Amino acid sequence: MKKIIFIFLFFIFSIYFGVFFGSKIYTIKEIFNLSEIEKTILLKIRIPRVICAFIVGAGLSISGAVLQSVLKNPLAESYTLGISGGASLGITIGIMIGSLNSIPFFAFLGAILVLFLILTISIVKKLSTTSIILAGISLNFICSSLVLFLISISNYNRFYSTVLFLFGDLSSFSNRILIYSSILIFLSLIYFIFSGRVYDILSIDEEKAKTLGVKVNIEKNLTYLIACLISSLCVSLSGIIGFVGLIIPHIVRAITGSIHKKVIPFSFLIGGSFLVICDTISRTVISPVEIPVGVITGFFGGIFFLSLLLKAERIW
Amino acid sequence: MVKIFEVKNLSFSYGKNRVLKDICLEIVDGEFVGIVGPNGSGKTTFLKILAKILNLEKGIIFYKGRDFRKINIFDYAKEVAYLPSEIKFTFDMKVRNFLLLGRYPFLGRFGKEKEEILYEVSESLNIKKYLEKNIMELSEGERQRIYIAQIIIQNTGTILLDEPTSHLDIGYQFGIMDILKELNKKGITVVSILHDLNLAACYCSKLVLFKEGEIYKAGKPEEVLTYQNIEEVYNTKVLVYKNPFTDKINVFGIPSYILKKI
Repeated sequence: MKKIIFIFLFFIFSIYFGVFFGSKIYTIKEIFNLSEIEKTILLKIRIPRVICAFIVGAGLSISGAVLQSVLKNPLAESYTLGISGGASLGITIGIMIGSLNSIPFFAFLGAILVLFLILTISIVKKLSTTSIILAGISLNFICSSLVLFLISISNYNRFYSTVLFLFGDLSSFSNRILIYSSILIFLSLIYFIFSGRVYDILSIDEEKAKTLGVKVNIEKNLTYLIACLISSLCVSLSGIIGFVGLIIPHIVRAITGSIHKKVIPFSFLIGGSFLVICDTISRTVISPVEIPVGVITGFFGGIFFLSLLLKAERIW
Repeated sequence: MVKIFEVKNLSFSYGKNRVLKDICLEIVDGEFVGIVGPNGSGKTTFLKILAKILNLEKGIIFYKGRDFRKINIFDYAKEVAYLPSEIKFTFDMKVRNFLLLGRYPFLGRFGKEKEEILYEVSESLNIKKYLEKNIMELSEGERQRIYIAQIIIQNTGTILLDEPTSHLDIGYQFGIMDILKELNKKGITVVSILHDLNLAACYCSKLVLFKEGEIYKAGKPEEVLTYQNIEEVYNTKVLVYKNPFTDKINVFGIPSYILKKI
């Protein structure tokens, strides 16, 4: 119970921090007497950005949590499996073709393609859990290089923003995509929570799962599909943000235990709050210049990832 | 007598590698069946087909007179439980939560758990003290008891087990077999792969001896565990006698260096 209160306080703090801090810092008193311009900035720019950060962080975290379960791989998430990279390649191709409205669709195509590739490789070559991750990270690099290559040979002159995009950046996103991403990610959250028991069983043993009546293949494929959908929406909004989907579920498991009915909703809350805080730091620390948020999450996430690897035998 | 399984001309292959050839077997309600045989003789594959983990390719199986292929796995899980030879956890889990997953076939996604059965079973297996512990903290023997407890909670009429006593010390071996015997007395049909022929002879009402994907012999322990059969199938010399204390068959392997002296 104490833990749950703590998680909610963390959530409330992150929202407060995200809304009140930025290039201009407000106090609670000030927020009630704002000028028209300030109101517009707050409502049209800062609050949507906080929502966007929250949705992306939450989406990446829940998709990470379920991917770790169905792949029985504690290092899995959309970034380490290369799904995010695939989505970014899809987006780049979509932009070059010139259909800006269908960005999430291209992202989804790219994500599914990479996932299909990595699952095929892992089944055919019988890769170990760690080798799958190595393959995923390689695919991510291949995709990122292709993105940079495509941008370089086109006459776009948007090299800098592409680099930002590959590092994860919340400063430019489409409000339309944000609205339907929020809806879809929220629906996925509900689906995942109700499938909690299935994910518990799948994370134990696939054969055991079958004999407990779980339709393993259907459940797994559906989960892959939804996880790809979530990551492609997140990449469409914010570019590639690595490690959030990896570390948050692990932290949540340490707090609440590994029952997915708890892991999934709390990953949603903590993951969202975590990215809101990282984003707020990224736009305040050397304000008015912004650091891409992926730089901050990558830094913390990378350290965490390393420590996971070093403690490997305890985790798997 | 209800026939639980009626297997006719079952064959199975992994790619080109034929693992099971023309298996015919009947398992009747209330039997305690031990499946024995050398490594790689197809025991596990056979059990996995019965558990609906592997697909039935060639042959026919009737489960209680019904066509095996037409039963979906969710309904089947209410009738038949299975314990793999090894369970690899991705994440640690509280024993209590692990045990409750045994109710999945009855609850599905949305059903609400009732904890009474948990206390009942853990009381009878004397594992109450483990409920709040994490499963990885337990020793292998303790863990095996927990796995069996989960199967009891699943509350099926038939249970299939793949070497439930391997890696266990003699105390835990007999402990596990005693639990299975107790369940069998309550009317549950038990089918278990066993490596230890003496345990098999002690507990089983029927043995099935596999050799290279075929059933070499099936029947009462004293019919199956003759020295001729064992020497033929396992390719080693053994001494077989009836233990006067238990009145069950005992099998002794004889080391070849001693054999040379004789």
